[in-house]
Amino acid sequence: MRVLIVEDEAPLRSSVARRLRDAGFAVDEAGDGDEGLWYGRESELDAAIIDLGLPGLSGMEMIRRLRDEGRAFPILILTARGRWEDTVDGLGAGADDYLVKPFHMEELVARVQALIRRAGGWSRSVLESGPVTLDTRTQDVRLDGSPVELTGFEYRVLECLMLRAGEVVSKAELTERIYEQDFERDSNVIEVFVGRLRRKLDPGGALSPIETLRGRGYRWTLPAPGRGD
Amino acid sequence: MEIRLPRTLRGRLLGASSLLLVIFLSVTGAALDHAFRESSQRATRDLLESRVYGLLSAAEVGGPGKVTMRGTLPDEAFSRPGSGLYARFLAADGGIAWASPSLLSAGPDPGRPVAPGEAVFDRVADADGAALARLRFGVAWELGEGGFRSLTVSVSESLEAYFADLARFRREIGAWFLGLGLALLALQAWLLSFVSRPLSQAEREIADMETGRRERLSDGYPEELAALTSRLNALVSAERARAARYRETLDNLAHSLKTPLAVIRSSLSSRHDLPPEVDQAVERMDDIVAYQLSRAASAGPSGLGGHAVAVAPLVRSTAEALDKVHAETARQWDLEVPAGLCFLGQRGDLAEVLGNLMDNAAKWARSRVRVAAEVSPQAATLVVEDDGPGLPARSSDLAERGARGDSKGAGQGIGLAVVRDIVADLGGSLVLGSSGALGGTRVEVVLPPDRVSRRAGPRSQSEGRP
Repeated sequence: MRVLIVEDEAPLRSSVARRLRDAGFAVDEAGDGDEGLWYGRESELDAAIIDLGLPGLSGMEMIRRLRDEGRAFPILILTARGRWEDTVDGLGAGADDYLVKPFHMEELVARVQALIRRAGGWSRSVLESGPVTLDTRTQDVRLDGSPVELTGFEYRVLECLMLRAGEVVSKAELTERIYEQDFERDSNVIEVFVGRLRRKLDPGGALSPIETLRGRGYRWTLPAPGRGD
Repeated sequence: MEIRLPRTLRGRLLGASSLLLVIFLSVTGAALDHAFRESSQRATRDLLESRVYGLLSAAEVGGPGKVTMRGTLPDEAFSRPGSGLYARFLAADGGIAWASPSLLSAGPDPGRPVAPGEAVFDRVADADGAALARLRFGVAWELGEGGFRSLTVSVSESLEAYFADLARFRREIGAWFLGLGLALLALQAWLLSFVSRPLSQAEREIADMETGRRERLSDGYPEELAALTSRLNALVSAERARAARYRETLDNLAHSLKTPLAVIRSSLSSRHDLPPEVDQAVERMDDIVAYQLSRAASAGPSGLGGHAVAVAPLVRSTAEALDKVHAETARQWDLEVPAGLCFLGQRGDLAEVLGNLMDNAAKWARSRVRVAAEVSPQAATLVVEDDGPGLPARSSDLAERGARGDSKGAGQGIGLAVVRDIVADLGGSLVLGSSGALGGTRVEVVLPPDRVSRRAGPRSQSEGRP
């Protein structure tokens, strides 16, 4: 999952970014509105965290432009003033949630996870699909109730696929969302992760939860009753 | 006794000039009336004098106390009985030497004789009470043997014709003056309204500014007023700029205080060896900063700097925003705010009140939240109620600074305290209670009726120019 943080205060930005990376996100960092807008346009984002009190292009204007250009990823706004007028206007401009500074890091991470989940159509924090359950908060994955040990990369691939259950996710998209930097990206590695996931989640080979669509990508095939469209 | 003066300048001016007009017209009328009476009195006296001379030229004095008339009398009315013209010659002792044939009965009192050469003009009443003018004229009649006899000629003439003239004169004068007075009053009222039109316009524009329908007074006022209106404009824009600067300073302050707090808190979250008191201290600092800043930022009564903020759209966007924030659960919003209802003040204040109250309701509601606004001549009321579990018994502490009524989210207690302060600044009150209809909490904001208006939209700038 790739998240953008736009915050002009460098210490806060880097500590938020660190905390998000710890939680398994790939993070883009921007120090002002123009830079943020660039990332918003160029990156395959799953969510953005935008401070309203930005120098240059304001957070509100940035949200408005991104929405006008059809970017639909969830946006969480950070506000220092804590005034309802800003919050209501920010949410009206297209943001999806807000946090008032100072906030607890745990809360920020939980909100971002919830936004991404909701954007995928899941209303609960535990994704249930067939015998597989994935808790987005604890990153706990179980098969028929027994825990499955996954690496960080494996978890991210699984989360991406399950969040968009039934949809085709391309390899390029998966790499974009899993890796921090361009130079790390190697789409061949994705095949390796998917292979390992298949072995761990479907040891008997009867479930085949991940379908490969040649040239297009991967799809999570198990029914997802918790996901309402 | 205290005289109640009219409360408007226009009323005073109109009253004073009308009073002046009435005094002027009455004095003129009285003077004209007096002059008319004077001149007709003089005319009457002259007439009587000429009658006296006529009688004297016709009279012949015979023996003692005897006066006879030669030939015909100078006026046939002397001969016609009851004609209203009577004459008598009186001897020095008051005895009647001659009486005109018009005197059938006693007639009007001839009066006392007067000394020769003396003329007395006065009024007398006859037996029926009718008024007559009387002239007594004393003569010394030269007798043949060198002696003289004192005689007084007393002529009385009925004033009936004079009174008829006077009445007609007064009627005519009255009619003229009444017409003139009314015409002058109407002209004056029109002139006054013409002259004071810029004043009425200024009055209207200031009222529009108060209700936020207008940003500033228009140009083109007459010089005397322009000095005032341009200064008022300058004052209002200075006040607006000051308020904007103040808000900006507060924003900067908020940003520069809360971002470091956020840094402290984020650094704390990665250190688990610190005692929880540190985190609590950060939380308290945050609460204090949040409360004081929102207190300071609340604009309160706005006076001339205010705007008309449409209530219904803000309620709707707040509900939409809260649906996003509390997306985990769904709720039904019953929004009963009349279209066209405007709050006269700062949008931020209304947003703060709505946001806090509706957020609390959305957090606690099981499935429904009702937001209703009502305006009566006595008060403007905003009600936010939900079907949640209702307030705990200690509801009155809830709005006190920093007291928290729940642990269901940050800033709850502060939110209600801020609402209470804003509402108090606006001259209203906050009532917490139970919702009869929905069964949960009911919060009622009561504002003075002049804080809202029901008319929509700003007036066009071109309207009402002088």
